Amino acid sequence: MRSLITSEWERLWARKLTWCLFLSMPVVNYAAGRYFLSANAHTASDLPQYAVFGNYPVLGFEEMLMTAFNIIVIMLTSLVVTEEYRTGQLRMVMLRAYSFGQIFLAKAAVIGSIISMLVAVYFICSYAVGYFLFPHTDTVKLFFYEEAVGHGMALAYNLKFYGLGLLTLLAMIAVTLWIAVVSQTTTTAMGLGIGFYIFSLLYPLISEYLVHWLGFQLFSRIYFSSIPMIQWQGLVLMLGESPRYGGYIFTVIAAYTALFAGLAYRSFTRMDRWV
Amino acid sequence: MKPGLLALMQSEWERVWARKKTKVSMILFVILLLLECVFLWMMGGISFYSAEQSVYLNSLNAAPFLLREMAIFINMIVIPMLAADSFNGEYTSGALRNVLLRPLPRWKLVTAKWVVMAVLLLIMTALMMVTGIVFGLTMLPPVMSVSFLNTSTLGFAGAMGYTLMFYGTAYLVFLAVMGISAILSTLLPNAILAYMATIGVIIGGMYFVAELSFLFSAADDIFKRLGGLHTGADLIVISILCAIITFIGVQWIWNKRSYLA
Repeated sequence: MRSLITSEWERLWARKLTWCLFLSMPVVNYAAGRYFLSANAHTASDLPQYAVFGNYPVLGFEEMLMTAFNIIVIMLTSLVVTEEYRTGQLRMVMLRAYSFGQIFLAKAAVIGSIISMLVAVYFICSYAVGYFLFPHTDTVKLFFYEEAVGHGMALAYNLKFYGLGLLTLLAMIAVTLWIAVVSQTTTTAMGLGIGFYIFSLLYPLISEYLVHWLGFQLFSRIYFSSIPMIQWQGLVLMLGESPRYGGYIFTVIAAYTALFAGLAYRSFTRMDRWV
Repeated sequence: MKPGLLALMQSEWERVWARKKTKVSMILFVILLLLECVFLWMMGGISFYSAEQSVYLNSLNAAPFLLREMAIFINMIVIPMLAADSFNGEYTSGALRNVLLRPLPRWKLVTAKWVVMAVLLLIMTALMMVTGIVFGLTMLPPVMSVSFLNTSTLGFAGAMGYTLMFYGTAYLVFLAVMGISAILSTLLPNAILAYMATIGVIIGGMYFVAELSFLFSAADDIFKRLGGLHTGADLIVISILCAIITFIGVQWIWNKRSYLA
């Protein structure tokens, strides 16, 4: 199994795209930094949205987690699963004495590892960009905190945010793995992936209009059943001074991961079109 | 007898519709169109010119507002998917060689692909417009006159004329996105990169180049343009230029390329 994972790992790193993704992290981070620099001009300095060195890692990640990172996940899983199937490369892997299940797990492990590394690189870059672009303050204002906090606590908060953000990306990987497995062509995998993403953005916004019919509790459950909405607003609510929706959001993320990873595993191991 | 352009277009049309995802996309498009009407009706007939400015819908002004959400589906899903299949998929899978067996000049093949996609987009745009007009006339409060964003008061003929101009402009935007998707599909080595690059241009345009924001927020920007409220370059001119330049670009690249490799 270890040599199978190594083989998947090497094949992914042999692609220029993987290297481009890592090299783009500082660029993307800098773009987010420039955006917050201009936003700071219209924001009061005592608000948590005002970017400083201590809180920029979360602000910058929040923007990109919901957009760029989700799209990167869709792209990677389509490449590793559907594209290998279409080009016939998957058959070469299946010639070896490994079960379909082992191949699937190796692919899932490699995608998860690459995404984790991308998040870690982004974290480091955000501290670098924050150091050079934003003011250094003695205390840091965080979302849903009454008082500003010191740098030690801000670092712990940032690490927790990135950790939870990574969990949401793992849930997204599970969904896109299933989409990639059931899709016959790469454009179908991409179309369905982007379609799922757009649907997950739209239905919570539609439910906002229906809140007087749904009642607030049902509305908030519908709202935070969407991975992008968890990434955008749910994580900061979970990490606030009085945490909210923590249990529910963890359940949603676990449910997405277990359900879609299970479906993807089942579909991958039962289909015979791979060979 | 050499096959004419019309026969090529017919062949391309059949190949596009032979793909299951084309049929599924079109069925989904119709379903979403109907759901959009239901949604607008359920919202008490309220929509938006922009995030800050709401507007009450009636029998004469409803049609353009279907574009707000439908444009996202068309620009981010339908166009990149179908363009990647047509301009990249057949080449990378080798299926294009079967088409190239025929004694035809390359420019006819590219033109056939372009025209077929343009016709498909025209049908979708026309369907959106007609659905919107019928929805307004049958389901929404009847009025004798209406005004749109920064326009004078219009009667029935004026409102229909505005709707036609609105969807005509939307069609130009779709052609521009199609052109961008086609040239990226031609240049990039696989369909995934082509798809991602198209999304990247649409979203990047919004963040980095103010004049290209209409690729993402088509409806809002078209309302501003038709009301004379746009600042900077005209999106109609940019769309037409984009479609022409990308068409010439795709023709040039396809003619230079060796397909026997």
